Amino acid sequence: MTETTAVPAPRAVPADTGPTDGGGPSPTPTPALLTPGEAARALTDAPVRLTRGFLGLDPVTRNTALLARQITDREIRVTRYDRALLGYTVNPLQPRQVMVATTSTDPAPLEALLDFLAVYQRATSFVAEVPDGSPVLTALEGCGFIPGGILRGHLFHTGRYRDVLVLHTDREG
Amino acid sequence: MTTATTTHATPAAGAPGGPRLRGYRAGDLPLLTGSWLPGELLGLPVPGRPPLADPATVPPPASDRPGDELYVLPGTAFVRFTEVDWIHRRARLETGFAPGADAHVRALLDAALGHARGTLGLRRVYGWVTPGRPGAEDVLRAVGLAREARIPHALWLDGRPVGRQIWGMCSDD
Amino acid sequence: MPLVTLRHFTEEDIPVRTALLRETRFQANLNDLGVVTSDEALAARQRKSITEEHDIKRLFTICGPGGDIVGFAWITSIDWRSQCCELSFAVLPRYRGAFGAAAVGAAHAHIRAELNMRVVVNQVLEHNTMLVSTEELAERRAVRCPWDSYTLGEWRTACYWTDSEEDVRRSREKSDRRRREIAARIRSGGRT
Repeated sequence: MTETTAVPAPRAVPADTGPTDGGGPSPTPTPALLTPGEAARALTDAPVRLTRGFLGLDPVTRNTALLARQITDREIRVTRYDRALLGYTVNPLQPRQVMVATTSTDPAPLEALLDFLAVYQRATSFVAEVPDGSPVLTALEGCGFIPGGILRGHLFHTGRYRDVLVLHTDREG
Repeated sequence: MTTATTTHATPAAGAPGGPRLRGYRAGDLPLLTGSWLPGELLGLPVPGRPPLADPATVPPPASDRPGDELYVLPGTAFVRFTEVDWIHRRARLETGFAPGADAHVRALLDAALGHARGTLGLRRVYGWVTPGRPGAEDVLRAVGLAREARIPHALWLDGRPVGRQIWGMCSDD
Repeated sequence: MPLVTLRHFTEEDIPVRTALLRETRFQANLNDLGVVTSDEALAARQRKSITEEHDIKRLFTICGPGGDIVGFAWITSIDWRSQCCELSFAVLPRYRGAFGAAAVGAAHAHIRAELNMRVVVNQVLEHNTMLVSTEELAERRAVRCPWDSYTLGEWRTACYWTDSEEDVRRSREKSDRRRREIAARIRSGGRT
């Protein structure tokens, strides 16, 4: 049988690309809050290896309409920061705790999000869940996230069940 | 949280005379509100809660929320599978026990996990556990659950954030 | 054989799929809904599938190596709990010879590897030998159902069968074996 791949990206667009000015990243990136529809499209266009499991969303198995609905229902905020997509949702049982996600392997965009949430949401505790082997783990570790445990067989991706890593960090206010 | 959890009590699900879960009916509504902690896997009443503290509650099934499965042991407890994900074959388990129903804990958890595997075909069940109840971990381990992750500051309780744990189990395919 | 990819069906794809719904062989082999339905109604149905019907139906667009649309696949009768669904697909006329088998393979691979489906129900109308020959259809069908569909003025007989994971594995092995045999024949200059 022919080798086949199953990918969600509908367009042949380099998915790392942000809203660029044609050159490299701007020296002082301006974060842009995305609507749920914009966020869904941005996640769909980004590389699968960076987006699967982004706050529990999966552009491979959900089309943009369904992603947008999940983003709305779960009160997820998605921001574009230079080339990265950043997301967060507040823990309704502990408003000082926020679950965060990034599509970048660079800690800098996530660090900026944590700073923002500390200042404007008075968040002091941050949690992240990433599929085992996710490249964005380096960004989390760079921001001081430490392991909190492993959710066994929590995801089914590309034909097999995979573990999810739970990480957290504190920023005392 | 000072009440010890007993493990002797009623026979396990599947055993002759074991409890049988049945689907939620409108008359079971009083079971859905109580003094357990919100979202708790082992939702036993918490003694000594302030009189003005909001009781925990779970919503009855609704057509616009298809990701929930709600069952009861009549007059005793509810079993709720929420965040049901049929692709990942998993659900988060919550229970809520009426006052004085501690003796049914082991049997109800057995029944719930058996139902998840055997009837719903779920591969993974997990849930939130707030540590501190004597004997609770023994019961959870006895029914096959294991502690997978610790998340600090995950719940606002009695004027401060407290840590929670995620317990779960996976059945092999 | 060419590489094909599967992606979510989008609103931009609706005109291409609508044109396919109007194509004669599609209407004879799958359904002739496109004969009596307006463009607007066909578009509205597809838009509803994209935005609202995720639990009961999923539509996919099959693309060739350059990203061109070569066809569509869709799953219906989805039983998420039982991990079972019915798979249908249609390839654009100009790509049928080149991409038919690859499109089928891509659709099967995606719904198993990503949607975690374990059993796929196939339905092929008996007269339709575009992708499955008459002999293979007779061999694979578990149910032969006369008077199953009425398309383009004729009653059609349908063949049904299911593909489990084990069936897919066997089919893949058979296909690989056939490919190796053909390659060996070519290498030997047809002397075997």
